[in-house]
Amino acid sequence: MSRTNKQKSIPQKAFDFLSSYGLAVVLLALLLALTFFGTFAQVEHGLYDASNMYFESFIVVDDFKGIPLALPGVYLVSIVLFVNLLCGAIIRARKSWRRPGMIIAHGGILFILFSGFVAFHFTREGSMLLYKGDRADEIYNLTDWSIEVAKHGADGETLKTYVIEPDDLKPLYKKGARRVFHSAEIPFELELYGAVRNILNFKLEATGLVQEGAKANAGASLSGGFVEGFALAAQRPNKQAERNQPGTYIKVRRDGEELAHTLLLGGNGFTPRPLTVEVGEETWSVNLTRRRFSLPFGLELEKFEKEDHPGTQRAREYSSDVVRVDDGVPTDRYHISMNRPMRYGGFTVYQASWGPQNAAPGDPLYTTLAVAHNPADQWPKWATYIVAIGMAIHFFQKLVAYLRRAGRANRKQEDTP
Amino acid sequence: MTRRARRHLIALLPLALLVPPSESRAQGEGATGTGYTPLESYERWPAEAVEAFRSIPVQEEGRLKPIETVARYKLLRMNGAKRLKLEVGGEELKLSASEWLMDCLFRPEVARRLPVFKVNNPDVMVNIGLEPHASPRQRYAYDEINAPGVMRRLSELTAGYSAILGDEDREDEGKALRRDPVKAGVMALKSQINEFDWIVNALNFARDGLAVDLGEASGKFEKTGTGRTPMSVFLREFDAVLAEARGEGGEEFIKKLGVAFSLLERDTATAGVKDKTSITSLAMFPPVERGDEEWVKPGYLIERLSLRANELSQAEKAEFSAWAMPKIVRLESLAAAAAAGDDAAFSEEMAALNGEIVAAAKARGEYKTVSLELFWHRAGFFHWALGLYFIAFVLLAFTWLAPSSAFARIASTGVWLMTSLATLALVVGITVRCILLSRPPIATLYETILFITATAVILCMLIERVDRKRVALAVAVVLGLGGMFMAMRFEIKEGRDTLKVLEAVLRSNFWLATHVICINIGYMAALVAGAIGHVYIFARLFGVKNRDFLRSVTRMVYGVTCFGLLFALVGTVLGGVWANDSWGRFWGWDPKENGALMICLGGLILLHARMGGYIRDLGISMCAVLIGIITIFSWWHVNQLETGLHSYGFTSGIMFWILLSYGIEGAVLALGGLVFLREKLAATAPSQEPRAKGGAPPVDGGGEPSHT
Amino acid sequence: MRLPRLTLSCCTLALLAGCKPVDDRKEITVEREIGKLAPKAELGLSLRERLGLKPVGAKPDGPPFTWEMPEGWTEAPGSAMRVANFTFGPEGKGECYFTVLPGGGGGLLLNLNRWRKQFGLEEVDQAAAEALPERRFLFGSGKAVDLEGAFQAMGASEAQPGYRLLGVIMPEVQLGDMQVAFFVKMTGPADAVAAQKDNFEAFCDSLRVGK
Repeated sequence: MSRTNKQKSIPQKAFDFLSSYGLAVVLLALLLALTFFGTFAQVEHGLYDASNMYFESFIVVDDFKGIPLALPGVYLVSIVLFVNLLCGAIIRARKSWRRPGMIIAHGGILFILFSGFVAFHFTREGSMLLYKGDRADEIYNLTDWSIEVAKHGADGETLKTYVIEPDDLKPLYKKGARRVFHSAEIPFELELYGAVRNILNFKLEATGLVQEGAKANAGASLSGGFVEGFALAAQRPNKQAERNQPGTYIKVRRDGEELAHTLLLGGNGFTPRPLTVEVGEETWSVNLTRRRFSLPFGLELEKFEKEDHPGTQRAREYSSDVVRVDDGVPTDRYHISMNRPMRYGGFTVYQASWGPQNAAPGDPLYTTLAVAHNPADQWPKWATYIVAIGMAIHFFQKLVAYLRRAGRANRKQEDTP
Repeated sequence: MTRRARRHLIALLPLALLVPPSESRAQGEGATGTGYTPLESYERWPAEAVEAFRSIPVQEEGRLKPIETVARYKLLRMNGAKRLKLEVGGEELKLSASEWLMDCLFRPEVARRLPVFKVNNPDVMVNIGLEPHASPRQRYAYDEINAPGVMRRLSELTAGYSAILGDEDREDEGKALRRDPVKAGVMALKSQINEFDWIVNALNFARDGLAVDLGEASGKFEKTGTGRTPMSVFLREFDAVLAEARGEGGEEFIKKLGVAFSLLERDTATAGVKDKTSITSLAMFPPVERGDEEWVKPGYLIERLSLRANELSQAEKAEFSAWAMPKIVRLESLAAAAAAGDDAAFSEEMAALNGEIVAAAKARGEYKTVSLELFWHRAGFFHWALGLYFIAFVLLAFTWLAPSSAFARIASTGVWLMTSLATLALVVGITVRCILLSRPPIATLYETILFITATAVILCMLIERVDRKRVALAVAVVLGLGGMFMAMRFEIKEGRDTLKVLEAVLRSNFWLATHVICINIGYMAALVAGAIGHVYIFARLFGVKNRDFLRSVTRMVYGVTCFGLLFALVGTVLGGVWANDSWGRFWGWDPKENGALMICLGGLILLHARMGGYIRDLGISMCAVLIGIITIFSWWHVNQLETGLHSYGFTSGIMFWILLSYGIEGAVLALGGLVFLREKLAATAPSQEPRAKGGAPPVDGGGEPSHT
Repeated sequence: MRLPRLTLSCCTLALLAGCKPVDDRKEITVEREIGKLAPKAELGLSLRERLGLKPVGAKPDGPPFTWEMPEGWTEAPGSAMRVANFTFGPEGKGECYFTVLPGGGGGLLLNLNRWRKQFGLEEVDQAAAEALPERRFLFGSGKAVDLEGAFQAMGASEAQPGYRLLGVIMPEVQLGDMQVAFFVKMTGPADAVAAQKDNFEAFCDSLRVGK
């Protein structure tokens, strides 16, 4: 390769670089290191934060047990790896029909990387919690919080809902961050500051909500001043990110006039309790809520069943019988159990959990269903088949060659006295 | 549970509230305390009785099993072994677990003086105020620990620890505590003592009955003259007792009954009620209802006929009583025969009890696996495998002493034979486990050890068939011996029945048979490749020049890595597909998933680095060792991180071994690096031997050349 | 060596990609469809009402409850056990409260007989207690109690005749890791209670666990 390098054009050189084994090795080694560090980061920061930091990022800057780290994130590495694979294993190797298995297998890996990309960007997921007889057609993401600005009708019904996405809120958790949100369709603008990711301690008490004059939290470092007798103080984020409850200071302004200056705390969403803003005749609300999505259908829980191994509290099986509700009309029935999700209209509904976890025998239980809309849902499965077929072909060829060689060697050994 | 029992008592006899609550169990009847002396003599149970006892089926941890299994693991938890050794009057005795459990149930006064508790760290004993024994091999008897102040100190310490462990805000403190050998030892001892307390009090009701003579408390009842009333009599008279308590002068009567009632509450609890959590493992009676799966413990029978009799109508009660009373009477007769030392009667009663339960179990179609499990215990497949691998290892060592002698050839055949037999025993053992649990071979960490050992040995033997260099055979023996030893140590460490029922998400034979098997074959091949890599590195280190040998070892390492990569890759992705079906996401960066991914990446790096010409044979072997380290990480270390969905196997105290193996493997890698440097230096120095075109390692790798 | 150089260039690329300026004005662009079955928002609440959380320093409480206060009732200060406390009727003689007792409360019979005793009635046995009518309550069902007699409140020196009690007992409920018992108890002059019976039923029906 080095012999001809000087005569090559720049695009040719770039292609050589992008398709090189060297790049592949470096990228794989980076992935290995990132996976390793990311796994340990989970112990320290919990899965959600570690994923954000290592696996979903362009760049990782972390302190690993005292060693400062600066690495490209898995997201970036994966993209480059995709290009590397495409150039090296498919485009360049396409003529090498001696090794069809490898080309097929690499094609499968490409497919997996691509479905990972699609899944990462286009999956909508959330949960719903149903007691027997409950109906729901909205799911909420357990870890991502959003702000919903809604316009209401005369009876309090919701007419329109605008969403400030989780990604736009995340930067606000940094100390001193401040951001103004606006829209031509909303008659006011929102200024958020002093936001904290979590106001709960690990016992889930709201130690981050400080009441003016209360002695208990005299030393707390507040993220803003007292508003209506309350202030916020950031608490250590819980490693189980779904247990965090955020809060923020908010100013609502219209043409420079301050309509409200108050606090917004993350709500549970079962009965939303938003901040109400009256603008002239119109009623608006602002709510800090888990990112919610509505489904094109509703589900009603007919029955939840949990069966334990006899004489133990270890669940042997649990399952939900649900009815799909289209426009308020019950239609098809589904039986959802562990490993057997319901699929409908591009949505997959999984049996995720149940509760309350420490319910006594005979207590009513609820079911937690996870709902995901992932265009790449089944792709990895097909990709697996492709990879397996490709590798099987390849290693079969190899094995035959190995056996032949070993046989030859043995014969040679036996021949020589 | 005590609270629940008391609640029902309150509902029945409001005035019983006047009775002081019972003392804690530890300070109850057995608190003789001060003067512990070792047993001077030990009388063994009659063999027929032991035989009848050990095959009684009981339901524990969701599974029907012979009581022998329960006894073995109970003893293992406390004693660190499945048999109890003791010295009585200068004579050494070995008791089977079943014999020991019979002592606990029928002769607690003997059981309390048996040297049962193994405490490895002497500081544990110092901490609770006892003089430690000279060696951890010398077990402690219950009565020895039950000295004044010691039990209290133990309870106080553990109560403090539990408070920390239960506090989520003190997570780090809790982690440190669990990793502190002394504190963890104190907690372990406390839980063992607790378990012992429960089991020695389990049949109190049958031995002691109610601690009051009903006839003395009221003229309405017959006097027994012993100060006690047999449980069966009390239960029969229960309605009359109630009527008496509620009638004229009832208060006086209740007062006389008071203490006896709180003891009844305790004895019912220790005999085990239907509460799903109690640690009494005596669910020995098949339920009345055919459709009901939950077997019941003796305490439940008592409870239904006394403290919770109000839940039944008169007709129901009569029916239940007709079913339950003979069982209680049977246990009473057993206890009486044991107390009287009447071996013949005891054996007879035990055989009858066994017969009744086995007949009922058979009628429910549940007994088959119980006898198979007894056979499995008796056969001891894994012990055989361990022993045979050991013999094979010794023979192997002989072949190394004089590699080309005739003796070596014979010994080598011996190695083959022993290894084959050992592997056969291992595979049969695993198969029996599969039949017992009716599921594929791997679902727990323990089972991965067995499976990986078996498949690793088989793979090595297959390689040896093809490539007769005695390298793979040696690796097979070492891995077999190491694996079986590890399985044994792990079982002791965990101290739980290794035949486990599964959580809902794991109950999918399809995925257990595909994803889990693939991943474990991946682990296995990575370990085998790493092990063969050792051979290569050491061969080079000690200056082996035989190119043919070196090349074929490299080929093995490379081939096995590829084989493993295929399985690891497919297994990992299959895991994703499974996760997508059960949790709705293909990949979740869960630590165990990451571990599998890291093995795949390691394999891919090896392959591509070789293709790119960055590594050759030494590099391949070093890479394989590195992948071996990664495999140890994802197989064992990840489970110690105490995070993630796959955290099914946290076991305290194995971190040390993991770190040790990292250290050893790191040293091997360093040696490999040394070889590389040495040869690099030799290459830059004026070379004595002619070289092929410029490459650092003298031997070209097997397989095809890189294709750039 | 080529590998380190490659690694370095990859890292630099990553650093460049990682820098993104933070905009301090952001337009809201996403609109969301509301589910037809979505719960209705409660509008017009004050900050305190919205928080729903007890600030630090306040007593940590059990699971929060919601209810609708019937018309004509007056809210009275609660206590450790009285989660909801109301008075009604002439001179506020009638009272109705919802209590949560930790520890199961001692069971149905004990409580029923405690109430009967307060009304000067004889104790009954378990069968009679079990025979009480069931009513839907919270997430399960409770026993409905209806007693009349001379009422001697706890700590009162004299019994007051012509009183009536309406109540619901739901003992021994496992809630989280603790056992609790729920009670609703309405007492007052018989005619006042009779007049509020519908309100009582409505109040019981409106009780919910959770905010």
